[in-house]
Amino acid sequence: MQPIETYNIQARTDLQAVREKIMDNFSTMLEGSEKNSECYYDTFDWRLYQNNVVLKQEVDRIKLCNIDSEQAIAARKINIDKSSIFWWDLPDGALRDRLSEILDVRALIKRIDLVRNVTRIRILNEDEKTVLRVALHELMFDRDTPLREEMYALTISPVRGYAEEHADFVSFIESCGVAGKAKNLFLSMADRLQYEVGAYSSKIDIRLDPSMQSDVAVKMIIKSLLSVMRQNEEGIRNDIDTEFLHDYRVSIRRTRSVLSQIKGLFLPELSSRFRAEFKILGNMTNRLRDLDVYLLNENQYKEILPESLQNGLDNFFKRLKAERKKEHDSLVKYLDSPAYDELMGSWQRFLESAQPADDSELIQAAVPVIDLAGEVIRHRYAKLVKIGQKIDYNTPNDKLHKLRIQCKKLRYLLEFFSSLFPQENYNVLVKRLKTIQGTLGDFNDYSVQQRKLLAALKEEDQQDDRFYLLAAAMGGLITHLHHQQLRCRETFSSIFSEFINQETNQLFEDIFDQS
Amino acid sequence: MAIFAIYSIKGGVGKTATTVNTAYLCAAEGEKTLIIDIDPQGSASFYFRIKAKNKFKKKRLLKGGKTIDENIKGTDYANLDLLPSDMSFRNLDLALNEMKHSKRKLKAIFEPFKHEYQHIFIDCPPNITLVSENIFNAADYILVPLIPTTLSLRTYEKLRAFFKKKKFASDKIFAFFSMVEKRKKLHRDILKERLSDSPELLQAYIPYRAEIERMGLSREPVVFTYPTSDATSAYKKLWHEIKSRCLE
Ligand SMILES: Nc1ncnc2c1ncn2[C@@H]1O[C@H](COP(=O)(O)OP(=O)(O)OP(=O)(O)O)[C@@H](O)[C@H]1O
Ligand SMILES: [Mg+2]
Repeated sequence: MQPIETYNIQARTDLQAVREKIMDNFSTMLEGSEKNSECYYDTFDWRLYQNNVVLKQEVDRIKLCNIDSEQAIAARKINIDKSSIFWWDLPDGALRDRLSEILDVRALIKRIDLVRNVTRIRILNEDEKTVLRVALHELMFDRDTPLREEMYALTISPVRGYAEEHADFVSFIESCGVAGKAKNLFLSMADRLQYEVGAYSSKIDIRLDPSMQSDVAVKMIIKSLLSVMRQNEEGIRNDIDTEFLHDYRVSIRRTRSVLSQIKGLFLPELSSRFRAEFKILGNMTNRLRDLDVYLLNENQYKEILPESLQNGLDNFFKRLKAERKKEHDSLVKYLDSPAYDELMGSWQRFLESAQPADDSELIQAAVPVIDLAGEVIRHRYAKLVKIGQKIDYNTPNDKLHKLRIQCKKLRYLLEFFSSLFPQENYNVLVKRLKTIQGTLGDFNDYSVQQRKLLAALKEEDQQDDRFYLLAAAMGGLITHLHHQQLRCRETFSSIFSEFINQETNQLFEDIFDQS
Repeated sequence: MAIFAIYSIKGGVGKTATTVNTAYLCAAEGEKTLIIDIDPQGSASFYFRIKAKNKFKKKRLLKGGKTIDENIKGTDYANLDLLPSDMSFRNLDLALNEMKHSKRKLKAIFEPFKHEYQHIFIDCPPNITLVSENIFNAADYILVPLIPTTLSLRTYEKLRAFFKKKKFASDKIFAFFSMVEKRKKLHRDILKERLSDSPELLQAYIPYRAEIERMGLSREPVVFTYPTSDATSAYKKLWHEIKSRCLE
């Protein structure tokens, strides 16, 4: 499908002028005008945009379209009329299926809300055959507020097989005093509304200069983590989806990891104070995250169980939902409190403050960051190898847990300093590490879930006449999780020995060689 | 996905009118649809106001692939594209004759379009010989318009005999009455007799209507120009029956 061309137009009078020029110079057919309201949805991290699609609510149907051709990929007759929704809120069908692949657990948020007044004109050849279509758009954003932001655009949709006519028309339009070409109408609108489309990512993406002073570089890393935290606060408050809290927590963990793994950059008393503060902050979010995970797993848990036991969990999940509400309220209360404000403020001030000059404790501060990075990464890897060499089929679970922590620490370091090293080998290394982390993560997950389900069961009212059903359902789940865990365990030693081998050692040497 | 060939040995029986209108109805349901006009007279192309590029020569068509792709044109209607006819199709028979595997050649050429289009309609010229067998190989279904006359029915019987002899599946053939004039006794009699005695015939038929004749002037499918006419409802019934007999 050929892409649609989009041109921005400065003012309503210009739109009128272009229209007249088209009518004067071409044989045309006016198809008519229509005025409709529309909303565009995307996730907080612009997943639809990243997948080259847009989701548009028209009057009575919602449509998933290719972003450039506006060709519909899936559509559904429904009016969602909400500020945010999940794919699982939609009725079964192609639209829901396609969205589930892209969105996962992220919510769709209403991003652009507008009234579109569009006039469609066909350009005809000497046989009165349509050779292309033009649309003139008047877009009025935010239809509920009196202050109406307006925008004008012209789009050209090609008809297959009329490339020459299309090229002629495009050069005509470009000579008509249009304000400039846009990549597509969606981006043009988003631009106008000052959205930084695609800007948010929870991934670490900082360009460091190898010769930078270590303290400056590490502060840059921490600042970007802080920025991710702050960007997610609003979504946590409004309880839009579970990923806001998830990304927020990951940033806390990364921050703590930097502070604990890299010594000699900041004053020890400051560093340990903030480590402790962030630990407390992290802990405050633990229960809410646990509850989120339970609730996300609800359907999956039910699918594991035979139908006869599925109802056993209903009351349990009902209580979890109620508890989640309380947890959420109390976290939001904290986020809105002066104490939180003070923590973030002092952290921010610390990150922006100048380092105390010439302090004998800050031995690493002036070292070029590439040297520091190489050193801490090598150190972490050596530790990992030491623990890992003792791993075999009989290793107790808590050793595996330690190994998982080491892997995670190494992974964070590799992410922080990624921009300093040649990408090719680095990516191979990260990919290998990811594989074992995946297995270790699953292993840990299964064991944590078993433990938590059992603990939750103990808390339940044993006098309840449906307790037996809940207990049976929990038993079923725990057994299932146990088997999953064993399966993980079986594959692990071979996966790990594939990681710690000559080749990986070589990769490390190639990348982080001291010389 | 199906390839329909609209075919008849006899000329002027309503092949092109059927192609244009059923393909339009198909596309209007949201299915990506392609009309392939292999009639050198180019009537189907004419109805959609589409001309072939002059450079488009028969040898090029037989190469298939890119050349055909470049020559497909969008009609004025959503989801409906057309591969225009070209005067040089007149020699298609000759050209095919010179080639190896000449009876399966068209099938191979049309194959790639199955990915892009859900349904393909081939508007055939009358009186084709070698091309016919190519069409019978390439098409999943052969739609045959019959004017209710004895002569017409005889050629239809001949076609079925030919299928048997050459071992083509004769259940690919779907004939239906076309240009039916109820005021003619012969038409009435034949319709009455055949629609009850020949279960392989489609029940839907297309009456003789002035609106359909006027398509030559309007250069639009009659179902588009006169959406509530008698002719339109006849084409809708026909397309509905084709779908339920072939696609379900
Ligand atoms: N049902 C109908 N009622 C009235 N006129 C019709 C009808 N069907 C077709 N016609 C007219 O009869 C003429 C021949 O029809 P059409 O071109 O569809 O037949 P054809 O089988 O494709 O002819 P050819 O064999 O020449 O390709 C055209 O002028 C057409 O408009
Ligand atoms: Mg014809």
